Amino acid sequence: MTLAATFLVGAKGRLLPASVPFRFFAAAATFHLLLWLLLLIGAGDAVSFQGGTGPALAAVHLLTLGMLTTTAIGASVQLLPVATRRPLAAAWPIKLVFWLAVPGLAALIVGMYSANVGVLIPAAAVTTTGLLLFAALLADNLRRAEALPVVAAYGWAALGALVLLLGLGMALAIDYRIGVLPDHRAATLAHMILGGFGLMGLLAIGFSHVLVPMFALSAAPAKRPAFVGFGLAAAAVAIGVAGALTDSTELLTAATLIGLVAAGLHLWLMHRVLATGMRKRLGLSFGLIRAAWVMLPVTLVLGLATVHGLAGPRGPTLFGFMLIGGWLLTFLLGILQRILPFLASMHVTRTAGAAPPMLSELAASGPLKVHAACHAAALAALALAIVTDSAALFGLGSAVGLAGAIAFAWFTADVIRRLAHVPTKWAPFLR
Amino acid sequence: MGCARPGDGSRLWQTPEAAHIDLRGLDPPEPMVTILQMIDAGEVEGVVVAHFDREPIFLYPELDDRGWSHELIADSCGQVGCEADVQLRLVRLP
Repeated sequence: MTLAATFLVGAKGRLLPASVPFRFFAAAATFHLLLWLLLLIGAGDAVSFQGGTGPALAAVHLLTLGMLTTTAIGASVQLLPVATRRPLAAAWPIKLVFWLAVPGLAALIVGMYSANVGVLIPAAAVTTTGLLLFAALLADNLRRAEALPVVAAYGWAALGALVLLLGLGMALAIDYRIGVLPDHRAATLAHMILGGFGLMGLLAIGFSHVLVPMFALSAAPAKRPAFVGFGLAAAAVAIGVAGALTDSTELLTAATLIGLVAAGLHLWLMHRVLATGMRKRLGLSFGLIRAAWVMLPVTLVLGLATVHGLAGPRGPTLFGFMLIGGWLLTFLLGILQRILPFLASMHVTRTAGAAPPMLSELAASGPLKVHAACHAAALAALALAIVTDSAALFGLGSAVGLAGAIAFAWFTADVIRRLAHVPTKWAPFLR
Repeated sequence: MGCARPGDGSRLWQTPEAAHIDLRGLDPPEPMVTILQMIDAGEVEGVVVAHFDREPIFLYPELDDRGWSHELIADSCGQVGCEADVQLRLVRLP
């Protein structure tokens, strides 16, 4: 390859075919729909859920594995190689991740929903295999990366959490058949901490250090406070997991307090980024992101109250809901609606001198407004339903959430549809 | 079109064809923010060649909004250090 051709390849040389990351986004949008549908169907079970198989457990994993993790995979396989200037080895491993993790997850949901351990265990094994493969690919990319040290640190910590999370997940599945765990409930709490605060939380905070400045046209946070924040966040997760496994109120309290300091530092850094940014009007997506930022310390305070028995009998349910629904899902949806059109635009071929498609040509804003309104209303309704133990209100909120998820799926499908009609180097659905 | 900085190491230099700005070695999103600050402050006019470590995909809509065209160009400096660089030719539209 000539030097000139090397230059012209640029980022596209580091890109996978569009269908590879976008199949994960399409799967996430589908799981998002199924999540709200399952919450609607299982409202009576979900409103007071604190563990155990059934519709609520299935819904939780539709959110965590189905929505959050598949989105994280799709975004990271597309963005990280560009950001780190290190391509992924090839497309087939990521395709294999998809064909293991997504069908595995679908079977896992069936197993959880129907309390069928005969399905649950092999499905967990298949899903775990797919996600471990992703972890290996991501680790290889991070290992060779030279830039973004703060993001890389969070990435490594999140990967560590993922491996532990998967191990605990398999153990929890097997424990339903044969009792391999001394305390199933303690392991469940550790699994939740590793998933919510470990994998997804660390990824969300880590990527925020580059995405939020990018959207606000601002400098990235200073490295020293950013690394302090990372250290506190990672310590909080580690101590929290230890506290969960040992059923230690002291360790859980310490983890929560350290987590609050980490959260406060992160929010201060983000506040500084927005305050010094060139762009002040950030749009609907940042409405969701700001709401998620409020939910983070609220979740931790609620967790602290729950540990000390001050949050009432519904405390654990509300804590779990605020963690994965109030904070993580809201944050992810805010980022996703901002970033999907950009990710689509990366695959548009631009001939020399030709203008790229405007982002407005790659996304419609109407569905996003519908989604944001429904999402906010649904979260408020579900939180109130949990506090008042109202299955009817929970069902109503879930129906509103489902309407929002339909709107978001429409937006996702519309991006893919418009991408397919703009001249591209690869036809996304032919691969 | 040269891709090497002047001997004094400054990031901004002029050739007969264009003003050059070297944004390599900066972590995202500093390259994008730097070039946009220069554009908004009127520090660059006409034709600018910006040198990046990675294609600045998030920069393109911002340039469109500000009335600047952009195209990836090949480098002909032949220097080993340029191999992994991305050059963007920016032109203020009338």
